[in-house]
Amino acid sequence: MEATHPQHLSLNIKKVPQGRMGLWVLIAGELVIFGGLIACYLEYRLRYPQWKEMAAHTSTFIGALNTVVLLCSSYTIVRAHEAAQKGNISKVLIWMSCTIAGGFMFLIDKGIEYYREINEGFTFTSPALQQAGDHVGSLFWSFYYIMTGLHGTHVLVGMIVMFIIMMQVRKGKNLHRVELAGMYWHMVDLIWIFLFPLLYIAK
Amino acid sequence: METINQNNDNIVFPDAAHEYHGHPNYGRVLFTLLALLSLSLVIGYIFSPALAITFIFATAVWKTALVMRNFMHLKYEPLFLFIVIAAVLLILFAFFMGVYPDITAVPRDVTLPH
Amino acid sequence: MEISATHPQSFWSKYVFSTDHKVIGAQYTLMGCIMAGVGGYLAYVFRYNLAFPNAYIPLFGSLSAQQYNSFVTIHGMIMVFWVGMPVLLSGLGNFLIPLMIGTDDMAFPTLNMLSFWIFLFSAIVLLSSFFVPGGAFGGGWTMYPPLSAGGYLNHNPEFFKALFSGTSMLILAVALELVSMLMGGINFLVTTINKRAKGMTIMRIPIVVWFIDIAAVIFMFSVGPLVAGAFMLLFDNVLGTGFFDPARGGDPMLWEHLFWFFGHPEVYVLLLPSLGVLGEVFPVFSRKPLFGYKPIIYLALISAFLSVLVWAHHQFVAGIDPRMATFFSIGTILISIPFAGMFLSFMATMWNGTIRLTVPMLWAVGFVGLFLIGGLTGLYLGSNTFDIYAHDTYFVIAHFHYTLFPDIFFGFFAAVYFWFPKFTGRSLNKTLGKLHFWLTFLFFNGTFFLLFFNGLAGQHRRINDYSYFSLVMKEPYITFEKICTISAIALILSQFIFIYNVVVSFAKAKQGVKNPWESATLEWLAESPPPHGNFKEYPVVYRGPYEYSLPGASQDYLPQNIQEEPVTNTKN
Repeated sequence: MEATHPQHLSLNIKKVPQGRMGLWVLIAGELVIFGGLIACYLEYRLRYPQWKEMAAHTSTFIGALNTVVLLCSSYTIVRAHEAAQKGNISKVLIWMSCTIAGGFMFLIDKGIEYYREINEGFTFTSPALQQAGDHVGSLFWSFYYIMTGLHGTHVLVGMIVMFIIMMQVRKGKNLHRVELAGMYWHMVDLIWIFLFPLLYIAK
Repeated sequence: METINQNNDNIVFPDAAHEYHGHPNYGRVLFTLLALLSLSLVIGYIFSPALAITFIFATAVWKTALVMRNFMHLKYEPLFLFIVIAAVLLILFAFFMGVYPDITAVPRDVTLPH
Repeated sequence: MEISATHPQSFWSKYVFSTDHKVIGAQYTLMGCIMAGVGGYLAYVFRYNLAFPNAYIPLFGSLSAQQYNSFVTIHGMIMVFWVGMPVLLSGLGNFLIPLMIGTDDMAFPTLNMLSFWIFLFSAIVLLSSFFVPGGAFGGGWTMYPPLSAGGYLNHNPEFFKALFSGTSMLILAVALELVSMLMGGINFLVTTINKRAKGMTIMRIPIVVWFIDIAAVIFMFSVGPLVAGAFMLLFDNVLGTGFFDPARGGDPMLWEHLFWFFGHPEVYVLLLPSLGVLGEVFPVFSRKPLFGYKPIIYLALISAFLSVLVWAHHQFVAGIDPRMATFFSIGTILISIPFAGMFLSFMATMWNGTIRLTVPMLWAVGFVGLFLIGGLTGLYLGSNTFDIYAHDTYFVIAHFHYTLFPDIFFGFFAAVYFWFPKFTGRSLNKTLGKLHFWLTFLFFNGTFFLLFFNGLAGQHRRINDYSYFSLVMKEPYITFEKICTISAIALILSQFIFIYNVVVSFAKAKQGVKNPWESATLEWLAESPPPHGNFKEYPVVYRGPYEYSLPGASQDYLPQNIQEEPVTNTKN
């Protein structure tokens, strides 16, 4: 009977565990949201070459530092996942704390950067630029804040989720969720990998 | 009161016996990522801007591939998921190309606000 | 894993904060019906105003031009996002997917509950936008800037005042609704992929589950730009940015692209679950296997792919690049091919079948007939040369009501009359059901058919009082308007037959008939109504979902869980 009705699936997708599958679908959805935003930014970026003067005001150093922080925190969360698979709870907690610390560092960096830019008069609407007649330049900053702001929100959400999972792991429960939190964190990392050259390097 | 036992085979609990995927050498991946990052920072000083930007985005794609394949373990997943991710990128490309003639490729005197 | 149904539950945990997929499906469906009532009421008010300008409207009063605009806008919004989506995608998906693939619940039940509560919140935000100063947004359901961005007159809006304006609340409500549906979509996909019963291979999944999943995929892959765009438009309103303001370097065309990049696939998100219902109803009542199960699925996948490539045919008169207009024209006409294929397959299913003209079958056949008119006029409009003439006239109104009304309501009623015995254990009155169908069919045509002629005569669709335009408002078009309005009122009134039918059936005792239609799919195996946890034991699947009238089989139909092999083997 098994031979005539094999449990076959042509693409063999049932093997993917439920949580991972859900995360992949979520990531696909999130990629389209950020992708749509990045596509809009690129359309305008190619339309307005003068945006490179605005992009010159972003601090490549802080951006690069943040990239390093996020890449390293991606590394720490994947080590936490590895430790979770071995059942080593204390190690999981250490690596996850490192990741959350990385998230904090990222947000602090970002805050310093925002502070500097706002002091220079570049805000969501940049009234100073508008008064000087540079409406196109102010549009760059609108995009800058909406993109980094949405990404920063994701970082914050990822940190909260990770903290909740850490509390569960401390009691020895839900170790498989470390991997799921990790996948979300990597997605946040991926988006930053693209935002960094778009907003900071390409001048 | 009857209870139904569901087969739990689609939830993978983290123990060595049920390992869903392997673990690549994460340290080496991180090193490659950081090396690519520093390369993309330096490259602007060496090449012409056009070439540098092409290179920078190539490294961004490379970094993405590294993170997805190793950190997110996409290389252990079935082909189906590659297709899903590729479809997402294809759709975004379609969106970009469909919008391009109306937003980007318009005459300059139209785009400059008065 | 123990099934939680066995624990005693209070009213609140059983019907309100439930994680059971059937209860959540019922919540979505009920919410959709309530919103359909609101949308219908709005339609009644502005339709009345069109036929009898400046007259006193019974049950409302007199309608100002601003109110007319708000009502038309919110009517469109409600019918697409708060009726079509919850009823067809979330409602049907929640009811059917776990039962039809033979499992106990969704993959993420808590997420499922959360998605409903976000949906409910979005509906509340939308409806409360009627009561803020300035009233609900009235710039058309597509929310084109600059109308949707405070006219860009005010570059420094007051944050809270701008947030609690009709425009911002509408944008927020839409964004929340999209997030809720995204959560639902994740659930549907993961459930179908991971929780199928043993033996339920991909090519044995019933067509309606396939179609709901394809619809969820289309939704998830196309909604992203609109979510991003909703943020941009919201910030334009509340912070005074200029993403879509041409005076500040933005471009309103971008919003149109962002909106329609989602808005057009949305049509197929609504259409596919409905077509899936037809795919279930036709084989059962024709006692024949579905004609071309696999080709239908491939056609649906092709249409899903094409659906994200044709969006700009809504913008032919907006000033898009003419070369792209040709591309989008061709894409639009191409996409009719897969859908024509699906409809031909459904008709071929009926061909030479033993047709039982029951109430769900009537709705299904009515759907095909009416959608044909909508689809064919869609072909005209897909060609950009004709669209430039007909755009924004009543021709377009008639066209999309001929597609969306059969899609949302005929598909929904076919599903309701078909699955009502399963999910309530009660049966609906047949005679009343037939009366409901014929009256709806008649008055629907009465409402929208004549609008084609009004549109071709040049009536623009966003004008509240035509008495000022004597060139287009002459006989017979004045009479047509009146016939439309009277039919529309009768159409709304005939829905009360359905409500009465449902109420009466709930007043009667449960019958609990397990399989009244002699259908072969898995949901009919469970008790009627299915308990929390659905099946006594997980079914094992041995065959495809549409094995009717098999030569050599011991009975007229072979349910999916029957192991018996008919003498003559068929594929699937």
